[in-house]
Amino acid sequence: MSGLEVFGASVRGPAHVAERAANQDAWTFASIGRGRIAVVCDGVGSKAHAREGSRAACRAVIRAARAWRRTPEASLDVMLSLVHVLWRAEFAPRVASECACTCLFALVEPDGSGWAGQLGDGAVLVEDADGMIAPLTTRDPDGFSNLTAALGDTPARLSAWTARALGAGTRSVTLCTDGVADDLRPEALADFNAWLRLAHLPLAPNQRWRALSAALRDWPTPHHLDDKTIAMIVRQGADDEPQR
Amino acid sequence: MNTPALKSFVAATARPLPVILLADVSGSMYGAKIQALNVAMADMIQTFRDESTSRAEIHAGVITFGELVELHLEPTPASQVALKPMFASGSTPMGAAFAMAKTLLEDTQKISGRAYTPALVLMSDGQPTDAWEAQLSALLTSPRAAKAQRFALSIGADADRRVLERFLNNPEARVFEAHEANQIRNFFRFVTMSVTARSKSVNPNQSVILPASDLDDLL
Repeated sequence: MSGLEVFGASVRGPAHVAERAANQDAWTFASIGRGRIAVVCDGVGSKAHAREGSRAACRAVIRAARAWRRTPEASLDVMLSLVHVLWRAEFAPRVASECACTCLFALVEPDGSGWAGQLGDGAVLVEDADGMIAPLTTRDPDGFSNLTAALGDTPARLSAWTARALGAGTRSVTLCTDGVADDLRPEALADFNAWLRLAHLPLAPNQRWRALSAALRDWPTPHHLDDKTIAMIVRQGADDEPQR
Repeated sequence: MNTPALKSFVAATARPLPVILLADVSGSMYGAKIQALNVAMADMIQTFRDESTSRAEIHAGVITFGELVELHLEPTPASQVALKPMFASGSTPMGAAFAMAKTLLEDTQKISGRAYTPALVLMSDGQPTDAWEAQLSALLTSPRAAKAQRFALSIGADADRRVLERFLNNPEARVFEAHEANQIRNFFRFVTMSVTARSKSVNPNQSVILPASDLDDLL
């Protein structure tokens, strides 16, 4: 059986640095039973309390997942409904639309099974036992950069979520806000994911954070402006297991 | 340092902000109007080219409609545009121009999903001479075109304001008017200021409202 490692980092983008504004992205992780959950959220830039909303969403997903795990019969829709309710409760009496944010999460068990969910833009990259990458969503062919669905949209719709059960043997799940995802070259996703895993996993936890933060701050795309956040759950030792 | 590796996985170009112009080059534009249009467009491209503080790379594209409906300029980074002069002749096949604009906006090879929402600019001095209503409706209901920021310029007394207002499809948006050729340049300055302000804003997808004093100076 393999162990689970979680790491990530979040940095302010040049636009917020120039304005001396706070990072509107947020991320967190937690243990749930023997599994791990990671959450990445991106506050919608035009909203007054987007930073508060993205932090509230991180906490809400952890709370919802813990409650959901205690009820094995409940469908994932139950958990997603809980996320919406608990998210609003986190910042009440503020108005939900003023706290709008995207929300990406992955819940991974020691055998690699679990769930991943996404509301809004960004990317969830699921790596299987063979190193193949399957993004949870594909880019909206009718969309443009920085236009997104979000927690806080009216009406709140569970159908706006994309969710997928993870098969046993999943090697890693990477969550990225759009500041990262929109600049990734589609043909390089597997290489990007492998770099993330291989360059950071051998490091001590505080070194991982430092190295990843430095890479995000030194983002190579010209004129990039968004906040950038990445979180990754990796099954350590998965490489040593027989291929399924 | 991780960054050298990261470079090979991410886009090496800035996110584009496309500006697509639909220019009437019918015979009635002959003379001072087409000359003013050529000068104004060259000025605009030069300003986009000089814009070094942008957060987005402005890409310009031009569809002309007159004797022919053609993609006069493929969407191109302003710094690389070699603009050819436009010549006026023929009728006003605006419907076919709407159809070409829809096809262009839906082409994700030419206008990628990384792009900020485009600006779509229509200028005309006459009435459409082809079937235009279905084409305009298709353009406005196209998911990508519907998101575009739209500008419209009515040139002279014979322009069909009704079509231009339908193109804007927004009761709060204004059809600009150029009664004389030199006012075409003022309209382009306004479009240029709006687009460059967007390109420098925190969110280049949001329209920037220019101060009224700037408008008064221009129009």
